[in-house]
This record gives sequence, structure tokens and C-alpha cells, in this order.
Amino acid sequence: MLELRSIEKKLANFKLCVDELFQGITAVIGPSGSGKSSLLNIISGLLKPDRGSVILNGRDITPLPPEKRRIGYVFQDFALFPHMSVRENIEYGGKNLEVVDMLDIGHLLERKVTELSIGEKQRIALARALAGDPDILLLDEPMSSVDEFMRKRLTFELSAILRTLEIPVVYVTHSIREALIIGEEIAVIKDGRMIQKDRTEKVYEFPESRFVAEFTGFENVYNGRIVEKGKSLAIEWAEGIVYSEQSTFKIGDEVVFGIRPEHVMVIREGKSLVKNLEGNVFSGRIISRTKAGAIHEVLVKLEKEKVMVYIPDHAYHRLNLDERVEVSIGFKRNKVRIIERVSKS
Amino acid sequence: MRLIYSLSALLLLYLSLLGLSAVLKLSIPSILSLNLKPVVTSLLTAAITTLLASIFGIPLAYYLSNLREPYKTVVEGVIITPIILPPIASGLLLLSILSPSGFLGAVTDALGFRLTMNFAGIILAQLAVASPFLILSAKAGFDSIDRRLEYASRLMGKSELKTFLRVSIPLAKKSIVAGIMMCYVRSFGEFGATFMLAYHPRTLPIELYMSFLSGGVEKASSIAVIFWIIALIFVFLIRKGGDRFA
Repeated sequence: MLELRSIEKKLANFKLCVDELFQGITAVIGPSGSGKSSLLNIISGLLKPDRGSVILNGRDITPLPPEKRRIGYVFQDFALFPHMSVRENIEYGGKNLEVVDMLDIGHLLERKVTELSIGEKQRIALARALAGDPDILLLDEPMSSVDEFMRKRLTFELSAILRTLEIPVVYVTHSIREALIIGEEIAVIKDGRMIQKDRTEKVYEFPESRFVAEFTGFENVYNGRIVEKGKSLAIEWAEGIVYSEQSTFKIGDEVVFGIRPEHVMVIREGKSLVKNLEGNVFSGRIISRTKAGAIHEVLVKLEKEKVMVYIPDHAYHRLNLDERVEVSIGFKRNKVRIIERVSKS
Repeated sequence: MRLIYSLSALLLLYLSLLGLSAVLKLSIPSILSLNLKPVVTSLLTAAITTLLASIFGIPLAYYLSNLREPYKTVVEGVIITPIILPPIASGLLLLSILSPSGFLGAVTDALGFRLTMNFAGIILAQLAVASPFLILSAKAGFDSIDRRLEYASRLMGKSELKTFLRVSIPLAKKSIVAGIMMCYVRSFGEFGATFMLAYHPRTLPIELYMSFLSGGVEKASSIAVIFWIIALIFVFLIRKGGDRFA
């Protein structure tokens, strides 16, 4: 278990402040320059924190140099030693060669590092990091040099491998897709602060800030005010009233709420509504659309707000949709997510 | 293009005159009748100088490569100055300090050993003139290393020293070897500073100068030819070394 206890570090644009426990596989995600790399550097000992301590398995490693910390580290472009063979690279890392079988790289051992494919390099880098039996594994954007074409498969493979490990893993990425696949937990970092850290499903379902919501795919985020509280909450927004099943807010709260584009339904004329769409139907016009494979990304303009809707290809054609067509869209009550209370200022 | 070729050809022709002249002066009997002592002195002192330059210069190059500004500019300046100074001027400046009347020479003199007019003087002269070449070349090698490789090594439990020996040096090997060769060649041919600090025991360049003074071109040319042959050997070695470390 890794504990970052009241860590503070002044950086160029902001102060990094972290006070968290890390167990299992944590995907640390945030935009470029949010402090992700500095966080890894503090854990690994390249950067000294101004305050606070790094505790690994109960051992205070803050004053230790990198070589004494027992950390496995996978670098962005793997940083394999070009002057050593694959075997030498791994043995440089440590004596535990069980990793060779685990990662199925026995056939690569006598190769030169320069002869490896990107997927092979990744596995060698992982083997090298694990050969020293580290107490924690850190990965710094290990997919960033992998091309789009391979990334999905390699992310799944890596995820499966990481789940067999018995040590904590901190996986830094700027891709929410990777974070969702890899992380048992997701920690969102912004301007040096962890603004939300929780189980992956929780972060995905219940983002606690507009930033996290937009980052995790809530493309439709609006401001509103809670006007009624019963079984559902009624939120007043630019288009009238919308209902949400959440209940942790109270009347009068100014809130930010959102709905994912895949949870917006396009409603056919004359079709009876399922119960949880009641009161949540709005009319508008399609103002633009983009086809991304089997999904149409359709932007609907209501009276004032715009709503992004993802519609599968077959539904798109069945409903005779196209640009400039008038449509009704509905938000399921249980998918309208109140994200945060806006502090009045 | 024709102009470029013509210009190139002219200078190349001029440079090859060195070889032509050496071949014309090549006379086996006069080479065989040469005094071997200066040859041995030069080969040996250049080797010791290069060894010392490596032992102290490679760490210095690494230190310099990691140094922050403005210190870097200052240290680099100290190292580059002897390359820019005419060796004879360097020699004179050193002499004023290292001779028994200079402050450092006075100290060692009191301790019972001298820094001029002996092997130590030759080596100190060569070191001043030739070691900067090794340092700068090795530094260029260290500069080109991806620093994350060193950091990776540290994270794999290796100390700074071990990382230096097993990662930094191997990765900068090509530049270090080139630097060592340059240092040796430069030491072997060193004249100006050596002339100031220790014209005795005679190194080969001093011997050449002395022969020229006493017997003119005729007498000295066989030594120049020896230099030319040794240069040929070095050209061959550097090519071979270059291929090997490429």
C-alpha cells in the first residue's frame, strides 16, 4: 500500500497537494500539465516534496534515493537500454525471472532491443520493472507511443496482466478510455489536486465536478436550480423543467447537471413514453451530425441549449433522421446526473 | 557544381602534398639509424597522459554534462581555453607556476620532486593541451544520452556509480573512444607546451626541432616521415574504431 501523506510541492504553475492512499490498480488521469508526472516523480524519488511523506508498505521512503525505494517503473517510451539485449535488460532489473514466463517473452530474450515491436517493448519494460520484486509498480503513460490501431488490444492485455499482480499499481494516463479499462480506482488530477478519487464505476457514474463529468464523457452539462423535491428532483433549466432521480440535493440549490450523449433517447411521434422519460422530453432540430463508425453523433438544438446525442446507425436510419429534421429527445430520469452544487459567488 | 569540385580538388591536392613529400623523403636507412629513445618517450608519455586524462577527464565530462548554468559556461570556458591558446603560450603560463621558481613548483621542489624538465613535465604539458579534446568529446557523448535511461537504472536499484559505469559510459562509448584517440594523437605530437616545460628528456617533436636546428630539413625530415607513418596508422585505427563503435 502506498500512502502519500500531506504531500506538497511547489511547481511552476501551481502547487501539487496530495493526501491519498493507493491500493490495487489506480489510474491517475488528468490533462497535460496537471501534475501527473510530478506525482510519479515524487513517488519514485526524482523530485523531493516540499512537505509531507511517501509511505510505502509502512516504510517512510521520502528521504531515500530512487535505488533504495523498491519501485518498478515503466517509462513512457519504455527507456529500454539500447546497449543491452532483452535478457540483459531484464536481468539488470532483478533476479526474479518468473516474469519471463508470466509475460510470455521467453522467445525474445536473445533479441536486440532495437528489433522489438512496440508491444514487445512494452512487455520487456514491464518484465524489467517487475524482475526486481518491487513493492509498487508505476506506469507513466505506457500507451502513448502505441498507435491507435494496437492500443485497444494492448490495453486489454496490460489490464489482464496488472490484475495478476499483488502489489499496488499507479497507472498515469491522459486517456479516459485507458483509465476505465485499467483502473480499479480512478484518481482525477487537475492543477495539482486530486479532485476525485474513487472506484472506477463510481467516478464514471457519479462525477463530482463539471471537470470530471466532461472528462468522463458527459458531453451535455448544464446549469440549473432545484425547484421541487419529491421522489424525483425537479430541476429548472434553460428549457424548462427536467427530472432526476437523485436526492442528495435540496430545493433552491444551484446545480450543474449532465447527461451522457448515449443516454439521450430520440423519441418517435405517437409512441408512448416509458415511465422514467415522463416530463423529460424536449423538442428541437438536428443542426449537425458526424458519423463515427456505427454511431452517429448528432447535435440537437433545443430552444436555447444544445444536446449531443449518440444514435446507432440502424436507429438513425429507422427514424429517418438527417440534418435540419425536427426531433423529440428524452432524458431518462435515472440518467440525469446532478454533478455538483454551484457555490454562489 | 564544377566550381565546387574544382575548389575541393585544389585543397585536397595541397593536403595530399604532405603525403607526397613524406613518400619522397622516405628513406629506410635513415629511419633505421634514428635514435629510438625519443620515439619511445613520446609513445610512453602520450599513453600515460591519455590514461590520466581518461581517469580524471571522463568523470569531469560527466560532471560538466550534468552541470547547470551559469556554472556550466564557466567550467566549459576553463576547459576550452587551452584548446584556443597556442600551446606554447599555455606552456609558458604553466612554466611560471610549475618551475621551481613558481609557487606550485616551489612547493614540490621543497618536497623533493620537480614538475619540469622531466617525464612529469612532459606529461603535465601534454595533459594541459590534449585532455580538453577528450573531455569535450566525452561530454558530447554524455549530452546525447537519454537521461531517463540513467533514471531507469537508479529505479532498478543501481547506485549512481553503478549507473555511471553500466549505463552512462557504455552509451557514450563512441564519443569517449574518439576522445581518447584524439587525446593520444594530440599528446604524441605535442610540441609547444612541452618545449616550455620539458625539452628534456626529448619527445619526438622536440627531437625533430632539435635535428632541424642542427642539421636542417635533410636531417629532420626522417622524423617527420616517422610522424607521417604514425599518422597513417592512426587514421586506420580511427576508421576501424569508428566502424566498431558505430
